Amino acid sequence: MASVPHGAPHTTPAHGDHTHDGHDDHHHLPTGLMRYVTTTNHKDIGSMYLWFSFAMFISGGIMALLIRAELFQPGLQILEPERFNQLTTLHGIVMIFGAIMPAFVGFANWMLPLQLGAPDMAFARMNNWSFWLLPPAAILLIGSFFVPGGAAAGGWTLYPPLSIQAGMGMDMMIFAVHIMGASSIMGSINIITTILNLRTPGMTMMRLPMFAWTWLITAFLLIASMPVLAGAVTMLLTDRHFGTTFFNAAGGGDPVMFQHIFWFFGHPEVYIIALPAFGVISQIIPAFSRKPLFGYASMVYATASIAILSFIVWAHHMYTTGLPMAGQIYFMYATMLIAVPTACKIFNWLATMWRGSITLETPMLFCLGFLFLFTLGGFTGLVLALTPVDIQLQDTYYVVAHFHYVMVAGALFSAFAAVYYWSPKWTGWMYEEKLGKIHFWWSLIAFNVTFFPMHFLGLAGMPRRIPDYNMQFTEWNMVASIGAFAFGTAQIFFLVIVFRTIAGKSGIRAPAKPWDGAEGLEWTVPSPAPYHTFETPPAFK
Amino acid sequence: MSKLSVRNAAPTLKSLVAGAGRLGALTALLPMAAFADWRMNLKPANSSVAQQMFDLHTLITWICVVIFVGVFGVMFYSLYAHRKSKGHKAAQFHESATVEALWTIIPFFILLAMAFPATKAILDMRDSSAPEMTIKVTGYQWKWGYDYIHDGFGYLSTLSTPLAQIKNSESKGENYLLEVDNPLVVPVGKKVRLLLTANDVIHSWWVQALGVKQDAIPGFIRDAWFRADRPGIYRGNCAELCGKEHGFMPTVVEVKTQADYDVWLAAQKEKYGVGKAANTAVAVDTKTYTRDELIAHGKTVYEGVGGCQGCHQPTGKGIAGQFPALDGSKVVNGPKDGQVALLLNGKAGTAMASFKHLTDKDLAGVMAYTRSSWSNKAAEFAQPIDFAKARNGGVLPAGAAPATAAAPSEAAPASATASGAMPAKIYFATGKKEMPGDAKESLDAALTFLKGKADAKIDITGYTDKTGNQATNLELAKERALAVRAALVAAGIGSDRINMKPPAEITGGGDNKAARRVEINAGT
Repeated sequence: MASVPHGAPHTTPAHGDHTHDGHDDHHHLPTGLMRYVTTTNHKDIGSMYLWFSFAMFISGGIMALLIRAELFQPGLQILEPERFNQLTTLHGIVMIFGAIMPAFVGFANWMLPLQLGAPDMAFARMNNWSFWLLPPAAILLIGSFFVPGGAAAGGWTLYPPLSIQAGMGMDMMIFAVHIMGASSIMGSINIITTILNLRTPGMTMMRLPMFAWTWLITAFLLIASMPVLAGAVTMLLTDRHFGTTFFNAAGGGDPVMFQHIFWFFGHPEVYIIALPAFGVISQIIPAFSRKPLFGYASMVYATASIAILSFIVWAHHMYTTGLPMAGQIYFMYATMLIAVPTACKIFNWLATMWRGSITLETPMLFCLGFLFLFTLGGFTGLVLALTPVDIQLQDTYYVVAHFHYVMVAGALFSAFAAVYYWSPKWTGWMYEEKLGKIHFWWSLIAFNVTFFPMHFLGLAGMPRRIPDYNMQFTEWNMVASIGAFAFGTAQIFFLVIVFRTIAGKSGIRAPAKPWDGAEGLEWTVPSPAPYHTFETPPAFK
Repeated sequence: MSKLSVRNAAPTLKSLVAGAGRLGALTALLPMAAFADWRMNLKPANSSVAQQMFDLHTLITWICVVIFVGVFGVMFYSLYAHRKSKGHKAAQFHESATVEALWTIIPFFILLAMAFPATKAILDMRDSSAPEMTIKVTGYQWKWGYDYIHDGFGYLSTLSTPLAQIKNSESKGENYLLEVDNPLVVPVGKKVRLLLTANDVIHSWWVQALGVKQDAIPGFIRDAWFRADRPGIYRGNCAELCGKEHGFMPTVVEVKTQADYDVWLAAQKEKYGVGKAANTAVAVDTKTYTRDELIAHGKTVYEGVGGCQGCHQPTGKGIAGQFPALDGSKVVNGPKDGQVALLLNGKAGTAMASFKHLTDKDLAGVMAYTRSSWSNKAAEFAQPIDFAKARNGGVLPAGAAPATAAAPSEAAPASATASGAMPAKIYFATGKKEMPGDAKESLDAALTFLKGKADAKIDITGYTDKTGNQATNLELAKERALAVRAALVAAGIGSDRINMKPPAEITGGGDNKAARRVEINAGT
């Protein structure tokens, strides 16, 4: 059963080769652990992605807190420099590949078939395999802390020759990147096929939900960029063990070539993380403004432009490597150009709210938090795009602040918005609104206390990836560390909210459509969504 | 920066409260705060390029602040006025070609306005033409090497903050982690061009006040320039993650007035023996020390600032998978020549750098210490004179004069090791038979020798490293020797005075730079 032929009423997507008589889907299900090992159901797989992602988020978060604890004051207190470098490296990789990307694949799994009126994802078994590749990769990453030499310590960017020097933790990371890349590519193929082929009749491309549009574009970005990363780390591997010299000048190679290849993947990766988040925001803001999304067509074009531009700006991460002057100028102009479609999107969201009928439930609050923080991160991105300014700020805490504003705000805040927005559909219960709001304000304030001072640290000259610093940086580091611990505890609070929601602690059962302004097919099925939905294509007006 | 005061290492409640207070002030005075002197902004510029960077940052930050306030003003107005709770009914408009075109075009023009000064600054920043002096900067794990290539000397610049301050057992000084033993010294007002490269991994040389941050890339040369406006000491850090001690690798530049610089330059030339005849006596520590004397001295080097224990650990156990253990090591417990060569030359492709900038006595001390510590009990140990010989191809430098034991030999400058003296050596790149760029000094030494005595002859012998098959290496060694002969003939030496002498052992056993060489010896 490679794909589900659309419109076949008796297809039972979740059961592989079993033959069924169409009305009796549930009693063959394996139970317990085997249910999840063997499942091909998009809802089960979506949930597994989301739980996996949260587990990795907590792991990466613990690493971040160890880093912040060491940086609380000058001097070396709790971590040796080598261990510190391992933590910064793994924090980056775990958060990007383990937490953010799987979270949005989880949302896609859960919501795309519901939004498109499809019975399941197009390749249901491959879907299972793309998920189950992830836990081994996670074990390789976390396990690398316990091998001789410890985890990779060359930064998540893995620049050679430093990454050539490292111990076997680096090989484990390379292997993990290969596995996670394969998983992403399979997930992307599945998403593209599902969106292009399994839409309910009448849902033309220009009537797709925005979340589906942004994921469609993201999936193409993934397919184009992941093999590039796989190639780069494979070359690292052969340089390390098989005597090649791709990145070693003594053998005719060039260490900077790695950076070009890495960032040719790395910059699209930024948008792989941001675009699905844009999609979530584009669904939620209209729902709570009770007004259709402003400029649907220009949103689609802006998303596509951002995706295309993302492939031609990579060397703005490399202004200090000694690019030719013309290269610096070109990459500066191209990078600045991305501000145009991004600004379009921000303006479109504002215009959606303008003269709407706005209410501020938790999902909307997280969207507004996203807008605020992401715009700030966008502005610092513009500052960093200017080559002469970047020369002063490259590899300082200013950059750390910048990418946490776009990544944490761009991905994490919109992921929280998505969880609050769609959890009634998943659990059948409303979350507790008051707790959700506390989670929002707690996160927003703690986030800014953590990361805003990092702008000042960077400007004042504190480099990133150092375990110790001069006393002039003490105060802001203390503030940032306090903020980080507050932000961390806020996420434990979030976990409590999730458990309480699943347990129905609010006492409010979710109706099929809990948000009066929400649009889309996902709100036409009951809450919680039955195990199988849309076995016949729904009507789409 | 003038408001900086020396602080204690321990965090005080006061500084915490001050931090929190600043954050409060910050939210109220966001735009202003970025320009106040609270260590929130770029350091004051000390060069025209840094000034342009500073001004550009100020300009764009203000533009962003204005747009930010405008956009979010609109959003907050909408959140306030268009609330359902206020009874606002939703309009249903969802597009407007005019508005959408406008907010695409207007940002474009704002960007153009930003691009203009930015481009101007890039043109300036990259114009390294017509420098008044050139310094070669080499990044090592974890120190900087500065070579004054036109003045013939060079030295290393290493963190000078004591380990006790880092480990919190001493209170920290004002320039904690931003201080070095030998800063880069330049004259004020001169256009200084830096040629940057690295020995092991990528480093990045950064001094904010001078507006220079340039990666130093092993195997390649990049350039950067600055012209300091005012004398003073300017501090920065390595800005590219370069391994374990990345945070402990400051870049410090001392800008002196021209007069002060000239005095300093003369002192350095004196110190490194620049300009003295090539074969004047080289001070060599020929004293024979007892093992205990060397162990005691070696312990201070091993455990000192920038000492071996940084990687190999005080326990000699190293860090598994990263830095090899010395305790039980084959090299440390093996023949002394192996360890001598490793200390002098380092090991390519690893963090083990060359330590030939240390004195012979330091190196002999480290060797004796490591061979007698932990479980190591190697019988053999080396005297300083063994290192002096190893530096010079196995023989005592010509005319080496016994130095008094009290005065250890000067640290050899990074670029001027064994320069000029006979026998001269020329080191070739892997697999290459072309003369390397730095061959001139050795050739000059040979020429001086030949021109000094009309009847003198020389022997030329080529070697290769041990990689590759024997036939190829034999050919390569020969071609290297021929290349050197051709260069000498081109300099006017009759070919009858040059004897091509085949080596006893082509590879010389090693696999490092020292092995890929041509030796020029006084003829027999």
